Amino acid sequence: MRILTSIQSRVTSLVLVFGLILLVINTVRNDAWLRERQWKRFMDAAESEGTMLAGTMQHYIRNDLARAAELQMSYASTADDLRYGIVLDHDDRIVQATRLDWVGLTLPASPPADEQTQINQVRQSMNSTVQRRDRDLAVVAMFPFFTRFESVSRGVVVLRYDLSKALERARLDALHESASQACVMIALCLLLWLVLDEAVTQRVRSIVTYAKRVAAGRSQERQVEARDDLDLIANEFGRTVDELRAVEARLLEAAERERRRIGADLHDDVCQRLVAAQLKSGVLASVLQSEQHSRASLAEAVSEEVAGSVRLVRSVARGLAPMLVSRGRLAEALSEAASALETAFSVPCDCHCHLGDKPFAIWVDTHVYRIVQELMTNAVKHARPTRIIAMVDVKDGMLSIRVVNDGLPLSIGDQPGLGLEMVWQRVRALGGELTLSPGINGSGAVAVFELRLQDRHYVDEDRPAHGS
Amino acid sequence: MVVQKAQRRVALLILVLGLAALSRWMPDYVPSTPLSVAVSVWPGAETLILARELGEIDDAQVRLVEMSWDSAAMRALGNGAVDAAVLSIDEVTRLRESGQRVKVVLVFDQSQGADSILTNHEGARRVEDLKGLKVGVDVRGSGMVLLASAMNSVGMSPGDVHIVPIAPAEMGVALQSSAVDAVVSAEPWLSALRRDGFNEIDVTARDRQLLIRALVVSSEAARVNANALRSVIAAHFRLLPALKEQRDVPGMEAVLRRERLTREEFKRVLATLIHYDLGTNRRMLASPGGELGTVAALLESLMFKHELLSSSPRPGTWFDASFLPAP
Repeated sequence: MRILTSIQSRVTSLVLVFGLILLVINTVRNDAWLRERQWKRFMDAAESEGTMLAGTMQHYIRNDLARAAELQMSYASTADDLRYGIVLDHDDRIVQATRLDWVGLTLPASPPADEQTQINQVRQSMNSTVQRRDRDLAVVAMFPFFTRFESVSRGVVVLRYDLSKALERARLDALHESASQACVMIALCLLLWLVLDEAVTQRVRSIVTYAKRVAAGRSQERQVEARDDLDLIANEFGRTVDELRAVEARLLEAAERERRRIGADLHDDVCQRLVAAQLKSGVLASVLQSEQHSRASLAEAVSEEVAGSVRLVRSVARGLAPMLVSRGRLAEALSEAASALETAFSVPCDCHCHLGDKPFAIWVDTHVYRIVQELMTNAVKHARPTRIIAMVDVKDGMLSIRVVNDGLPLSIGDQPGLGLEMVWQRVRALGGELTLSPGINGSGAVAVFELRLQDRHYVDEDRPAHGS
Repeated sequence: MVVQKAQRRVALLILVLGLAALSRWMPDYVPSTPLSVAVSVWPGAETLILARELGEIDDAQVRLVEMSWDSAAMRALGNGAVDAAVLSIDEVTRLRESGQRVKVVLVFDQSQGADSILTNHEGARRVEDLKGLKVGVDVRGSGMVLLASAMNSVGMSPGDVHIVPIAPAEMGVALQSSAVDAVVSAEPWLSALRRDGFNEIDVTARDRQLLIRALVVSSEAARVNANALRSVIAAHFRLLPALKEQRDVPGMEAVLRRERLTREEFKRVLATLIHYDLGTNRRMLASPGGELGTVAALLESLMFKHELLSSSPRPGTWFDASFLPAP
């Protein structure tokens, strides 16, 4: 479940689960405690009622006050949970009872007959008993007394209480209490959810947004004061990204320097050697032609091949080390790159630039050049277009680059190649945004780069303006 | 999105407050307790005992509390120890005078010889013969009404005798020992006293016309335990024919043991009662204009006259036919 992936959900769910577990434990304990309390209450009630009845019955029966005894028993019978109460004389005859139709019956002939054994024991020992019966659903109390003014004739008061309703009440009381506590707990969990949402989730989301912006190089904000662990994470992340960006920039710079070195070496060394070879092969062709040698045409062909190689190497050297870019002539450099591509791949490539008067820093020119170069090269190699147009504009403080081709449809989900990866690195280095989208009617592609220009993007005032 | 989020938060906060309020004011569990009915030893009300013996009433719904005599049952109802009781109408009047919210939901019978005055004086036959004698009576019971009514008929009042408060079950011993000269007794003790050979004072049927026994219930219990009440009343009407005809049904022996009468004696006692059937109950308990109201008015007048009441009973409707079975 996605909902349980957030800290907010997990913490709240854990609290709820633990709370419910505690509630269940509490309910069981409460139920047990209330049941025990009910038993105690009944045992106490049986003890006091039995003691009182035994005392009064002894007095009434000894003094032949049957009617008073009868009235006493009537009032005892009003107790809700008293199932029955009987007073037995020495001969086990029921002399008083909460059920008047039992009066006069002998114990064996009456419903409480199953208490005979216990009653005999009580009568014998003259010790009262209060016991739980029937799986603790009943309390039976027996209290002996003397029926005459001597110690031989012994009667017994027997009271039986039915606890089932009382225990049911105890159980429902426990449930009621638990239900009330459950409401409080759920309310607190919801409150916790809201607090966590405010204190954690929203802040995490803002930090993630901040991290994404930092990762894209669009945010230079830093949290100055770390209020808690989340702020520390954000600050540390920002610092780490800064370091990575610095490393990336140094790598890009190093790669660019290496390109230029290779380009310079190609131009200064390989090209010159090839030019020398071309000259020598041209002279050889002329000599062989003048001698009307059969291999003269072969020598001519070699000379043309070498000439072509010179042109190619020069083109590669220029691509690797565009001199115009290093001289602040970005527009010309881009136009030359477009021409080179057109020549190499026979695909019309146009580049239109409106850069304004304020020159960029060299590193910005380099990145812009490489971005346009790579986007156009990528299009011409993979999209098989019939035409490529690049537009580079500066307007209202925004630099925008737009490269459009009419070739194969763009496939967004594909893993970007090395060339596009380098483009993304340069985009991040500049701090802009690049979007790739399908072209009109789904064919071809449109690559749009946008950058909000800042002071760091510009050169000093003494640098020549773009194109000059 | 921001608005939705704010709405969700508000909804959650409302839910939190609702749960907190529910926790604080969660309705208490009120356990269902059976309707407790105090049944004194009165022959006309033994249908209830019979119903219990035959399982016609559910123990979980109705609990019969056996009391020795009416005034004990009246006290139990008055102090809330029971929800309902079998009482005489004068006892109901006393309860209403004390401010109790009770109502009569069933009328059992009218006494036509089940209440009487007995004396140990040979030759004493008339009410006038009681003048100056010690008369034992349950001063909170219907005996006082019978005495007052009988004396009123001959132009006397209870003040013309020495009233000795005695519980009904003690009357036999009191008469035997001449602690009193006469007693006002009711069945089943009356049969025992007759058996002992005491003289019976002539009391007219008119004197007894106000001696009506009924099932009385507290207004609150009638509301909470309405179904249980209906089941008791329905059981009474179902078993009334069996009781009157003394059918040999299980439970009859228990009834006879309670009454301490033989079968023949019990049959004779039942013949001294006018049992009210369902139709009569409807007429008596009809509101407005039920006949019970007329009886009560006569009774109150008599009781006021002889200072058995010191203030007017609580006004309002105090009898209700809605618990009677449908025709």
